[in-house]
Amino acid sequence: MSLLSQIIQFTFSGLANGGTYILVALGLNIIYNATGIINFAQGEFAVFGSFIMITLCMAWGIPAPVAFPITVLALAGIGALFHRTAIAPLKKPSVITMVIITIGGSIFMRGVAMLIWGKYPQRLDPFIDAPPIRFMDAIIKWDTLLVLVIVALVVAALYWFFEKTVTGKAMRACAENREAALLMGINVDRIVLLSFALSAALGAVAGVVYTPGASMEYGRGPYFGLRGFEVAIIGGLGNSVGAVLAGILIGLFETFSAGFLSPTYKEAITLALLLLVLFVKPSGILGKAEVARLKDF
Amino acid sequence: MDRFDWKPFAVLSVLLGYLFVFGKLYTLMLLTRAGMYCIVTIGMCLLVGYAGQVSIGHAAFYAIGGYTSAILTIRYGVPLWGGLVCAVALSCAVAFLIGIPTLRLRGHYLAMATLGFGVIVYSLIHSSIEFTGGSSGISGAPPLTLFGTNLAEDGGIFYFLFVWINVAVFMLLAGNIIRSRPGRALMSIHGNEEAANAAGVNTSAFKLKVFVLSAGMAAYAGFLYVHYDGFIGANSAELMLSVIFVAMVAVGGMANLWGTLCATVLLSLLPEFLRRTQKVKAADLPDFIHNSLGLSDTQIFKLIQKFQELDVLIYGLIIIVFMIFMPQGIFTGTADMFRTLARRVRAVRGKRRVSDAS
Amino acid sequence: MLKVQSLSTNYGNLRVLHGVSLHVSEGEAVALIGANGAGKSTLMKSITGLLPPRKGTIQLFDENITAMAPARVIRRGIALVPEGRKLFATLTVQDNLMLGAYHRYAADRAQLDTDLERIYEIFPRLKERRAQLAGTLSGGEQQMVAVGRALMARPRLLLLDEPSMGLAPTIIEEIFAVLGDLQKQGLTLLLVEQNVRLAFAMARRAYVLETGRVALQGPVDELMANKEVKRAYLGKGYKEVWE
Repeated sequence: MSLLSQIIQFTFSGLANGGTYILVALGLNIIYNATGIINFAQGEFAVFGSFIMITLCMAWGIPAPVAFPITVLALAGIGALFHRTAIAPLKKPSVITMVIITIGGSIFMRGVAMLIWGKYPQRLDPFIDAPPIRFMDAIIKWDTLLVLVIVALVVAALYWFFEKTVTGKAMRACAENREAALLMGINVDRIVLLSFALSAALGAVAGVVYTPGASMEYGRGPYFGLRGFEVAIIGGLGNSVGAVLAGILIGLFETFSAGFLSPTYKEAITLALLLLVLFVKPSGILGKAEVARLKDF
Repeated sequence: MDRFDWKPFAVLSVLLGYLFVFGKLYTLMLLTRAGMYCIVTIGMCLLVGYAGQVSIGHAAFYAIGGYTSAILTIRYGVPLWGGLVCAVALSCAVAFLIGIPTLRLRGHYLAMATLGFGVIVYSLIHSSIEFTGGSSGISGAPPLTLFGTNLAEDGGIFYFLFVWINVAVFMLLAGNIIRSRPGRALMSIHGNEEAANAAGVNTSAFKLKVFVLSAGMAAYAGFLYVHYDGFIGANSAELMLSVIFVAMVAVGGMANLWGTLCATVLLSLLPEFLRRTQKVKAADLPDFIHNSLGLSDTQIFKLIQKFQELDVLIYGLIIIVFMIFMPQGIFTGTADMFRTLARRVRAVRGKRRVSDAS
Repeated sequence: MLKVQSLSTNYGNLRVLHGVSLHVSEGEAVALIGANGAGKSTLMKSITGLLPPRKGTIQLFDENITAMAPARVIRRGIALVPEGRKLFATLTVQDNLMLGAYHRYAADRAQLDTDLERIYEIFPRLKERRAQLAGTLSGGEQQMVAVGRALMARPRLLLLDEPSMGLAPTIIEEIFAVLGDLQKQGLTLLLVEQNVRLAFAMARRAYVLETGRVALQGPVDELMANKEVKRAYLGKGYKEVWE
């Protein structure tokens, strides 16, 4: 395969992976903005989304276009439940408490996933069962393109939600100034609940678009969570435009470093980048000023 | 409270002495492992509970300790004490290098950075097969000998004693650190860093020291483990183990050394407890269970088998439940519970007396 | 209209209000003055439900609204312009104003555009800046947004917490002129001010709060004549206001 077609190949798979990470990162950002919590269970939402989709499609034979929204709704419910049972009961949580409790939540969800879906990887049929596109020597799966379209649509929908709907604006208002939001008559508690539901739903989409043609196992949660966090951090925590850009960056970085440097150490290399950013510039490489205009979206 | 408290040490010695003389070998083996975890969690307790820094990557230091000593002693014929020195030194050095930039971070950032570090170490161990044996691990590490005695002999009864003497020493050490000036300052303001800085305590230097110390202790525990078991695998660096360490400190009540010790022993025995329940035969179960569930013996057997896999789930549940309902930990938490219970009982009695009188 | 009776409120473990009683009649403008830390803002927070009181009652007309959630208080017609404005800085001016009407957004949608136009009539400058982010406005403009946002709730009683703080005199004049007009149109005002001259020019009656207790109360002219008030609140401040 020529260098050029290799580059094309890597670019597409990098973008598809990046798309998944963007969705996880946006979910993290939404909860972070609404509550100041980093949800360590965010990756588990993706795992649950993927598994529910697999069950619906593979075991129950429900067509993917129907199963997809069901999965997303189911995860929204799980997200809301997570908030009500693990987050809401705490009266005055410290950061340490929140970190530990969301970790507890993630471990619990992992245990549940293992109990329901077992220890072995499960696969999902490709969404579009057509011969892949051949461009030069590069092979591009239809599903990869579909992932890009879905991610773009979700991002656009989120943009619309936060910029155009009153609920979205109320959510941003809560993130910005809780007390003032209360004075407006905004039910902050309900908005926080909604942000957990929305965030879990985004996790579900991430899990679902990641799986077709690949497989899912119960222990994948931290992988998603860490990648999502990496993207969120590099884009500047809470900054969604930054997250989109950083997601693309990380997706490409990961596939290119796996392709050209070392596939064995891909995981370590990509995470080393996270540590590097955390150490050098924890506020994210996309400086706050440029993107402040669209901080929450 | 600030003075050295010898009572728990006395209780511990009596308990250990009793176990040493009368305990079953299998129990001793379980407790030996629990003791190794205690060495890790004592350090973690200082770091998380007192210095207020959550690390979700301490299994990495544990693994670094174990692997370093195993590789050096097996492949390069380094004597045990050399393996020990290198293991602890390497772990401390890594902790120092990681710690300088990491400990500037706060709360979530710090937790994520240590989590990322832990996963990096795990994936390095997992993928550098020629060096670490990858997923099959390394076996054949020489057993620990002291004064010409192989401690692992006779079912490791002396190893048990050795490990727990170590635990006691580390408890003393940790107690001293807490009673030291910066330790007291940090404790009195409950890990509120800004207040500590305002009070003139150099928190970052203290945090770094505690971080390096806890990494060294974890490495030492890893060393103890590998020369006890003879084998170490990549799962020693797994995220789950790091989380369990944090859970042990949380269940112990964060800034509570003895609580952490108890929580560590209890939580290390949890998987074993779950394994025991699996041995219950379906036929042994009382009839009403069969009747009420309407399940056959094999179905119940499968259920019980699944129950054994629950340890992950139960760990998660324990963390959540303790953080919500008993943030003070098992010690203070249970004491508080009894106290409120007693108060209620007294209140009810008081009322009754009043109504009796009238 | 509003009747606060022996209200005590804690801030954490610290008791800030010790049995405060006051009342505001319909159509009235009442001033609440006092030094820093006297508990003025705490009182505002207690009335709006942000900081539920420990003791005492708050009545709006015949309804007991003590410790009611803020979202329900605002539905009953009490809006607060909080101290320091508390705008949503990364939202546009128009979004800020619209969020002021959040609690009646679904029910009253048709009415909102008219209300928005009314705010723009009152503060024409905001109309020019409607698409700008609130955080980029000047202090005076931000205060206008804060007042406009509260008015969008269509309150019967408007609470204002230090609306003049940190603003240039011309802007203060402009905002207080607007408040005066609104009051003439029938809006009830409870005004917290450190700038006593300003407050007394607006209000008919006033309360003086000292360390969480009502120290003095009465018609403004009476209070103006009071030696204590003169010394503590009008003495030096008198000059500063005119400069």
